[in-house]
Amino acid sequence: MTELAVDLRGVRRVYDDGGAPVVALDGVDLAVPAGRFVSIIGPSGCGKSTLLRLAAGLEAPDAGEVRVCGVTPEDASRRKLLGFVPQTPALLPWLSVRKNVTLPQRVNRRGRRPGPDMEAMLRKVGLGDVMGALPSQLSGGMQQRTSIVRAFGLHPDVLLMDEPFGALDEFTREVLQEQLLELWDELKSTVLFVTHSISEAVRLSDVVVVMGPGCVLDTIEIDLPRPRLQDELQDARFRELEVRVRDALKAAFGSVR
Amino acid sequence: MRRYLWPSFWLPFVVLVVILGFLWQAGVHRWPYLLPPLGDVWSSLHTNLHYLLTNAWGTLREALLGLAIGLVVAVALAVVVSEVPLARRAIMPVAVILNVTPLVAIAPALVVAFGFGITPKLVITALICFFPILINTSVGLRSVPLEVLQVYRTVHASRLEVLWHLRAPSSLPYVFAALQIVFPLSVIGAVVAEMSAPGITLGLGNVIQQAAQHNNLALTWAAIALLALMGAVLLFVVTVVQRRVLRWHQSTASV
Repeated sequence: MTELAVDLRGVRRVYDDGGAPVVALDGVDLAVPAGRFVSIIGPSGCGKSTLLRLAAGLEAPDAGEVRVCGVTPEDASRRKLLGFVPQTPALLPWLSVRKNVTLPQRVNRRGRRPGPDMEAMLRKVGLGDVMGALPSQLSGGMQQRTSIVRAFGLHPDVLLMDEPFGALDEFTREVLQEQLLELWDELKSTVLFVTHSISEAVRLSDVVVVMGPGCVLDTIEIDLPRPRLQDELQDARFRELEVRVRDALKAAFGSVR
Repeated sequence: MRRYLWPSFWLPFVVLVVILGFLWQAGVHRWPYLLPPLGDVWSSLHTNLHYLLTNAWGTLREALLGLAIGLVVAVALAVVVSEVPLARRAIMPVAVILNVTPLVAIAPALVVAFGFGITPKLVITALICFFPILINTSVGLRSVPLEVLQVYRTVHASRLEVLWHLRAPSSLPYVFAALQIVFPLSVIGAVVAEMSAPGITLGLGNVIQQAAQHNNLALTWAAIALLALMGAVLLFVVTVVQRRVLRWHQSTASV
């Protein structure tokens, strides 16, 4: 049996801040084998980001169990098995690009693991000329690239990405998808990727998980060969898979209404 | 050419000062007990320069020492209240009460407690500077965006690491905003302390009180001018340091 990188069983999460309790996740099971790229897609408010925060150990489930690489998310973060890319780049404005990507390596030294060559990685994603620049001197796309390199720089077993390209224009988004796949190909982390974009989910993933309100509605295998280059995205098979995900999403939106 | 060398940078200020000077001179005959002739103020400054500078040093020393004490205590407490919610609930109400208590009113009690030396002046100056630093620093320490904290939580950064690498640098713009207030305020604090807790120490506050009692308006205004200059220089120094330290922050960006 393949080792599971992320394993959620019967997970329930309820937000109760005094008003009516909101059930964000209810009885969610999700098993992600190591080394796979899994996208989570679904309508706003269906619990995608909650699921990611539970896997990251940023929140605890009210019921059920979350395991990352066979241990609790807390232990996984202590051993630096996790990388997290939030929606915004979340860079430190007073540090250069180089220092921003290396700081997570320098904290929690007990969990330190040999990381990749950060400068080479920055050069690889086209940030070689701006390593000494401050985040405010970079474009939005460059900032998000820095954020991704920061996470990959930890050489994490599991990379959790919460709509990292949501705020970017279509062209920048495509370039970053390409670079993300290159980095992933090199480091082979397990990726859990939250997105709103159907084509992005199909292009990047081995599996697309379609969520309805608080639950997993469908799991769609994407059996397209890799590498998936930009001009192959017009192929009939790619389109077919997009339609399948779209149909599953329609059902999800139907259940929201 | 540097921006401050352009006439458009300094000329408006110089013109306004000249206009105010003329208005002052025009008012000299009308309000002789308020406005001494500027020439008299200048000659008083010139004649009493050593006396005034010695006393200015006394005030500056009180201001800077008091400020340093207030800064150290306020920053230390800001770290405590931002890290420990229980401490925040205990300390902040006391700090607010202290802030709204008129310090001039407790000055006599401080003289009783600490004597006529420099100590009561330092206590008053430190108390005046304390509150703005405490409030700004504690807000600044909590100003790190949630997503940044989440990134560093997923790598299990310790509280000390978060404080050192994230919270402390994030608080710097807030600390400098407070310093821009309290550096000139420290001079005011020192003068108020000299006037409300008089004693044997040197200080321009004492000079002003004695000169006013002897109807020496020229000397009074010479001392006031020195105080204004001192406050302005302190503000300038803070601003220069801020621009160097906070290069990355938008507050120092030129538009």
